[in-house]
Amino acid sequence: MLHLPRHLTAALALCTTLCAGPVMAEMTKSLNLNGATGLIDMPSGEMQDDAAFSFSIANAGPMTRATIAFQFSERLSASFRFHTWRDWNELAPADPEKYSDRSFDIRYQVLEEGRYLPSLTIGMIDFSGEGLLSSEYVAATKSFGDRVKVTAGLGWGRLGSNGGIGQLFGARPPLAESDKDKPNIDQWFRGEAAPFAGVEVKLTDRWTFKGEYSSDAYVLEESRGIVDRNSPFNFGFEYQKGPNTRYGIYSLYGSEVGLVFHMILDPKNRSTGGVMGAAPVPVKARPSRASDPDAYDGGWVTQSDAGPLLRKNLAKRLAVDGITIENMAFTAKTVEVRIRSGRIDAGAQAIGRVARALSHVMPASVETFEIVPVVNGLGASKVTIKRSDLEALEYAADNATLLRSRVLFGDSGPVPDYALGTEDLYPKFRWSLKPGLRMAEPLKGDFGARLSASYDMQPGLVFSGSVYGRIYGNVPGATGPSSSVLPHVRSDGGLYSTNSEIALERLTMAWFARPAPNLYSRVSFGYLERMHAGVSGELLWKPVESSLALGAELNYSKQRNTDGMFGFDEYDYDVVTGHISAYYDFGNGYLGQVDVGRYLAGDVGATISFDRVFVNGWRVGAFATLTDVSASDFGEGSFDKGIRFSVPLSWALGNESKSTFGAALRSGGGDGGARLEVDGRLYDSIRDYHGGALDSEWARVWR
Amino acid sequence: MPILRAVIAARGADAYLTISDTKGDVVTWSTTDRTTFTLRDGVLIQTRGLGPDLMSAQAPTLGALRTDGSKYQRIYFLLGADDRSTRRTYDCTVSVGGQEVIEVFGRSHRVTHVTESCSRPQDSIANEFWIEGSVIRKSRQLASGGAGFIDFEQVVD
Repeated sequence: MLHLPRHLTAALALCTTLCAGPVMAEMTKSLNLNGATGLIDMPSGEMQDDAAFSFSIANAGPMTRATIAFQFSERLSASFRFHTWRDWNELAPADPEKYSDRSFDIRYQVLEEGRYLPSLTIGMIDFSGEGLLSSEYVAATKSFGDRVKVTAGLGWGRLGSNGGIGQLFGARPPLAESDKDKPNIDQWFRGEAAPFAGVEVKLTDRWTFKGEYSSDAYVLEESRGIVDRNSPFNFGFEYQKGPNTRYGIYSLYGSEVGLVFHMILDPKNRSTGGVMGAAPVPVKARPSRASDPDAYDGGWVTQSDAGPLLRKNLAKRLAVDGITIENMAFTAKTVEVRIRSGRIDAGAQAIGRVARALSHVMPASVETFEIVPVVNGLGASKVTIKRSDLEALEYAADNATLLRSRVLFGDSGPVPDYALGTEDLYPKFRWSLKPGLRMAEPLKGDFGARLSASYDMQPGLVFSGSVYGRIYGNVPGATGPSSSVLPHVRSDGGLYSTNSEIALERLTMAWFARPAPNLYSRVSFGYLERMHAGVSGELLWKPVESSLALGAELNYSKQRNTDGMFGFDEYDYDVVTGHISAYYDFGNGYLGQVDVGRYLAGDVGATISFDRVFVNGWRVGAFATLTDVSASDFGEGSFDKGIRFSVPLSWALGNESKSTFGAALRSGGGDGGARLEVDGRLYDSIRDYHGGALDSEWARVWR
Repeated sequence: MPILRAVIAARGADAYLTISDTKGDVVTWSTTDRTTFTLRDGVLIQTRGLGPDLMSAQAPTLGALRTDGSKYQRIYFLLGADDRSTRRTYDCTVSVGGQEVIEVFGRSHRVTHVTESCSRPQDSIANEFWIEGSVIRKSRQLASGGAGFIDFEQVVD
């Protein structure tokens, strides 16, 4: 007979009612000083939970590491790190006092932990940079009970520099100057391999002890005289505060103290447990046709005041949800309403609210509701809902799935001739003054205030602009032009910041149109972005239910002065750029994009990007651009690559809001592979209201 | 005016609800700030505005709850933190207990205590109903994983 301790049986009993997961509490998959899943300085065989997005800031003696990491899928994770060495000139006074480098890591879990087998992960650290941190490893981790985890692994590169056991796959060639900042394939898993190991012991729910044997000899830092490595052993304690934050303090290499702070976010889930906001108005039921046949008479359409009255009543109901009517067109049986949703962050929810409002406003003879979400004056799609389905399914089990099977998504088509526009909608002036943030790297950037205004002259024709005033920044100011041998289309970014406390960021006229079914077009003219002005034209083909979209863009631009004003005399540079783009929605929120064309410095090449988009609007992705510019001409980074993320405020606050916070972090600030930053690019504007995105959030149609 | 009291222990919330919509045997009750609870013959089928909401449900009829030993499948369709629909399917059995006298808002009611025991591989739950004639006078029903159980009392018919 098995006797369980009393507190364990109590825990099990509690779990039968509350816990959905496995009964045994798992230990946290903790992060290391590099912001990667691991021990202290060494990696482990584990992965974070799917989609975990973490930000880590670590101080290890004279080194600071700021890392953003993302668990791209259950087995694949990637991170971007900004690494600074202080006292870099300790032994070489001519060198700068600080040295910084950016690096990318990638990790793939080959094996998930089983009853007997450990988890096994292969990873590469700084696999395409200058090589100061370059290492590859294989690490295995096995947990014993719910309090102890043991890790052992084998490292190459830096992680093979202490206690090597031989070269398993041949010698590691030195990194040629011309190969820096490219994937350093010739080095991967080459050279001396060295074992590392460690243990993690959960002391209490919040405190963890970690100890490890490191295979990193810190050759670079010792040669610079900034780290005195006396021992291969590191140990320390970590403290978990809530689900999102973790602190660590360690003794490193017998001589240094390490401190780390991790913030771990879950983009999949809202902290509020679900989207907040008031309940919808219930569907208004029509009387049965048998009981009140007169209600179904379509004669009302001939009444001259019917249109304005219906529109006014509908507008009043939609205003509650921040939705405005662009156009309304009806017959005795059908109504098409074009709407602009300003607040609700899910298209499906906005559509559900409009459908319910229509059920209250439209006479009983109207059976078909056609709802067209409008973005930048363009009909993005058309959702057709039968009123009788809405009535029948309101309280049915699994009403969202049932409704979806009866709803049609299609092209919005042109505005019907008999549509009633809203007189007071155009022209419309809007403005806002909001705090603005420009991030150059983790913890570096500036913040200020951004005054934006737009003047909608008629549907699709927008005059808009924004002015940004810097209040505080910690990016070192630039004193002169960059040393780039390419046209300085981006590398003088520091000068633009230094020379303009207040700058006109944008001042453009944009015209959006629908030239044909499934086709969208944009022409923008004026001060397109902070460094360039000109004209930009774009055409996009995207059927509503298609996973594939194709686009083309052609631009002519001149480089602006660094003072953020109207002139062009500082640079005598103009260029024609353009791209052909293919977009593909792989499903489950994975989006891919390929752009081929000519970039701002006149270079020719291609950009590949891959993003993961969550239903709540979180977006995390990576991109890389290769052009015909030689690596040495490109400058630091060698080719343009980086990660980008965007966080909806509604995720953090649970409210209804479309505001987001985001940044793109690049490996360098080179001039190669740069594109114009134009507002209102078509694909991202309309995608929210197309098949893939609407389907993923469709559960909110009844919210 | 009919009034339903709703107490959500997990939220420390206690509210008196009024009817905002009636469609046959389905009644939607609302707080003043428009959080709503929709019940079919007193059995909870939807909530809106709790955050983690019960979007729809395949729930037992009142008749099934009054029949001792009736068995059926109960399905909750939830909208959780991930903004997606999650389905929870339980196998349930009704056990009709004895007569009790309960007090609701200072008035005594002679009721039958009904327990609906539901289980699935991951967990088990129990909803409870105190039925007076053909009215669910009082109940304790699961709304969603995040909001937990709600105690309802029909204060004014």
